[in-house]
Amino acid sequence: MSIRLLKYALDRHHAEPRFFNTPDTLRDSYDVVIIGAGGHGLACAYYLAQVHGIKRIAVLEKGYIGGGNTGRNTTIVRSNYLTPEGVKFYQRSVELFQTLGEELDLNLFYSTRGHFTLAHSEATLRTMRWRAEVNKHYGIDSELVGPEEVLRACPRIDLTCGGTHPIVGALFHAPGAIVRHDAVAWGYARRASQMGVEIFQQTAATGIEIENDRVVAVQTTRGRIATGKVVSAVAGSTPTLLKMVGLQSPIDIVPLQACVSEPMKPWLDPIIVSGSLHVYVSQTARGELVMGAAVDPAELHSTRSSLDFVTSLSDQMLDLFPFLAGVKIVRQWAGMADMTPDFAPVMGKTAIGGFYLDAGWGTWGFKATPVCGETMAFTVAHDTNHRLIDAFGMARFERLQMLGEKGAAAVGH
Amino acid sequence: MKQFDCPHIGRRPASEFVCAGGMIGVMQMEDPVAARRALYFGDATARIKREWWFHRPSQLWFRFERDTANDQVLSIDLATPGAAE
Repeated sequence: MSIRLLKYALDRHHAEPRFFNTPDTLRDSYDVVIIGAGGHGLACAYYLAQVHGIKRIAVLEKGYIGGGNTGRNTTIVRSNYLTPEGVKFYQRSVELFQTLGEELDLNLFYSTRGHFTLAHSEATLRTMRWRAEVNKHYGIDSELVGPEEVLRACPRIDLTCGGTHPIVGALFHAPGAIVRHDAVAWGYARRASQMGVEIFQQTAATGIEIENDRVVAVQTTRGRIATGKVVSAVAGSTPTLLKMVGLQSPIDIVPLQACVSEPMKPWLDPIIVSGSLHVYVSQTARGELVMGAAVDPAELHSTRSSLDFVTSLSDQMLDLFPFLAGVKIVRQWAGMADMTPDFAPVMGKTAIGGFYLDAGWGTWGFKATPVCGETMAFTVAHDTNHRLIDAFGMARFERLQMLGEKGAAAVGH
Repeated sequence: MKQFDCPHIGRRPASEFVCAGGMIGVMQMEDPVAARRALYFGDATARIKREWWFHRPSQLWFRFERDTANDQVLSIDLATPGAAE
């Protein structure tokens, strides 16, 4: 036993430093106020401090950090999108994710698994071929494979899906990965905090003061903060925040549900997605299956989850993996997804000076956490949209220049 | 399983219905920018919302008033012309 370990064992004070600071009082003013301490908001704070040297930042969170959609997604990371804008953007995110553990000095359990999107019809295969070609053009490892390769990577799958919708092929994306979502939020929070960023949990923004079309202050449940720059990274609360500054958006709030099974021995290495069966599944390091489906059928501002969801998801899962019939679902939950009509985000500068939006993240936001932080930090620091998010402005809906990520961003639409 | 208590076709499973989105009223097409804004932009906070819903088995359209804070359906009107008995 090392002397250091012995000393530690005998010491009464095990002073393990807190992950992030929890200051008691808000200052009167900050250079930047970020609303929402999820992955996106905390990443933005981190890159503002680390890359741009802006450290007088308050991150406000009405609940607890990472307690919104950061803690409610199915943790899949991939970049095999359909539009050139989307592909370049998500590819940057995958690159950042691959070295993020080292950068944040925290084990994020980043696990590259390979990602199969199953095709059950010739029509789906055609879209996948299109996706694969767009992906390859931008240097992304993405290819069409046959059913036998799906079986080789996942021997427990029933390729006939009970005989009703047999698997005819798949889009395979080798870099597809899963990563511990809480660790991402906590890692960014710790590093940002070490550089002087102040994180306030249980602190809700209640109003945003605007003078001459510019942000001048944020009102919170713990007092007023004078600031010239506000970042909104609040997912399902985006319409509420936008109302505070008098803006409207094409975003609708729809619940997205997910669930986990009891833990099992490892049997599922890749991530399996079926758009036709409305299901995606991966197995965590703990052995649980993390499963998700399409969004709920209608707008709703609630994180309730439903029996309808879990029965229909189980039904589809059993088509793919009949041997799971005896396995129990142990938890289910929902997040409030901020959906856009074209399944691409709404990011960057807005009509209000100093008010920056990171929203429209619907069902595809977690995988974009690092790149959102990086590009939003650049946008805030320079008051100019980062080139990777230029196409994601809200005005595209007025010009009818939508981005059409529907075929690649989600299942079951 | 969630059900809707419909005054026209009785108590039916919600899974038989498809939500076809909110009502945007009569569009003014003279000003294209205003028309596009009416199509995509709006108040999306939790509110009482008027929506179109389609019942697949009966092929009937309905107008719902629904509270998007708690999913309570406040009223259901038959919208398919000539379908009232």
